[in-house]
Amino acid sequence: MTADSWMVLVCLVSIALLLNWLPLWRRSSLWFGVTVAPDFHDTPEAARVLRKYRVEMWAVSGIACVLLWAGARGLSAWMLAASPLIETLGAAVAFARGRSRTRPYARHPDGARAATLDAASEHLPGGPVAIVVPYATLAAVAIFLHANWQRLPGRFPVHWGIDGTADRWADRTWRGVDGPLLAGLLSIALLHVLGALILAASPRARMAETAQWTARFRHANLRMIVAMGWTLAALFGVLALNPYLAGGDTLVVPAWLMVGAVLAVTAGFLWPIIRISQESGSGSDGTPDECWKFGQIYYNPNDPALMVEKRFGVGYTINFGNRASWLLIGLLVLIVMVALLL
Amino acid sequence: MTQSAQIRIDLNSAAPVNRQIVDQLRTLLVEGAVAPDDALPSVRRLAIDLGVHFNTVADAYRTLADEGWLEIAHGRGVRVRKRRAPRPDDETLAGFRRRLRQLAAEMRAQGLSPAIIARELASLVEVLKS
Repeated sequence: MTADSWMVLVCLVSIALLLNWLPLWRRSSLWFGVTVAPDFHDTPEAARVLRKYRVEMWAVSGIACVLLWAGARGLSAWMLAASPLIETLGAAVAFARGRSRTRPYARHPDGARAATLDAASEHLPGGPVAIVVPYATLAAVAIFLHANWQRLPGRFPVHWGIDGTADRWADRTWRGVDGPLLAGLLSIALLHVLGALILAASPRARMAETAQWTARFRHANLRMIVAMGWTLAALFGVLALNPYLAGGDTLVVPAWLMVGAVLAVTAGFLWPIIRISQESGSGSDGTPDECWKFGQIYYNPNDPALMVEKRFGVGYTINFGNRASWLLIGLLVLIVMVALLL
Repeated sequence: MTQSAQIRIDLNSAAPVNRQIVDQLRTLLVEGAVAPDDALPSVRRLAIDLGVHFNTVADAYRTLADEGWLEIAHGRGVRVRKRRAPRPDDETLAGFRRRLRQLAAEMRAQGLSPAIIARELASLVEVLKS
């Protein structure tokens, strides 16, 4: 197996471990995306649903690993590329089957809703400074590079393999030099758009008794978005500065250190979200069960919210029943295409 | 506005949602839980929080604006107005008596004693006076 194959294998195992615990990170009145009694998760039926999900999920992950191994041995290139996709889709199917097994224990929501009359506008944690700093960092790097244009090598690496060997180069053009900065700019802007949408178009709380929990959950998610913006600014800034600092084909900051730093920041800010999502008394999210397709895709044209809490995994997802969601998806596709072209 | 001011609705109730919003907001306004010049959430914000259509909230706000409780300024949100209560006519007073008697009878039928009803009315009067 090559170093790249080993890296994919590590990713497959990491994703499998994540998927193993993912169904447990949810509101206390939800089980596999179904509204149930708050103490349902302590019952033998809930344990049986979870056990079956895990058996199916690990079986598919095992198949994905075998495909990866076969692909790495040169049997077929598509096997290598398809293995992470098969693992993810397999887990989604296992979750949907777990949801079907949970539905007989569903508790019909009572229809009670509550809303605070607080009209104060909300902001991303840290205020304007926390938002501006990542953009300012990228701008400062761009100014520095253009001020030292002649000291940049005529040709420099822009992509490296897992072992740190350069495998793609660019010339000293605005596209080659500023490309990483523009990619960083788009990624950070996308994060901030998502943060703004969570603030403006997700429910602050639909159940009076879980309002505090929802507020803390929202804040923890928004804090992670802000932190990821800073992290991406640092990452793309370092990558853009590499031709100036390295001179040759090496990476000034080793790849493992950059990947490790991103993972550490992600884990550090994800951990509070996971802790909050495991607390008791968080109730349900106030969205109807029947509007969740396969337990993961929310489609409710009668709900004005554009963003709602996920029922599988942590964070927020789109209400595909809202027409604005298609604009958002179009924007995402556009940003991805621009990033790929750069 | 008191920190805990909130409205509760029941989507399964026979009463229309916009009527529930109007009734609860009016109660909060009368009891002073929401004071003049206080800002209320925008139509969009309240609709998203409650999970109901924008028009439902807009209709409720319009009803209260027509009664003189709210001022709806496009782009500047919704504010509570200083409202001078109109002089009640005989018809209003008769309507109030009729509804009060109907409510009292309904509560008596559900088991509330006259003493409890009298105590609740006295408590309500104290709130209104304050």
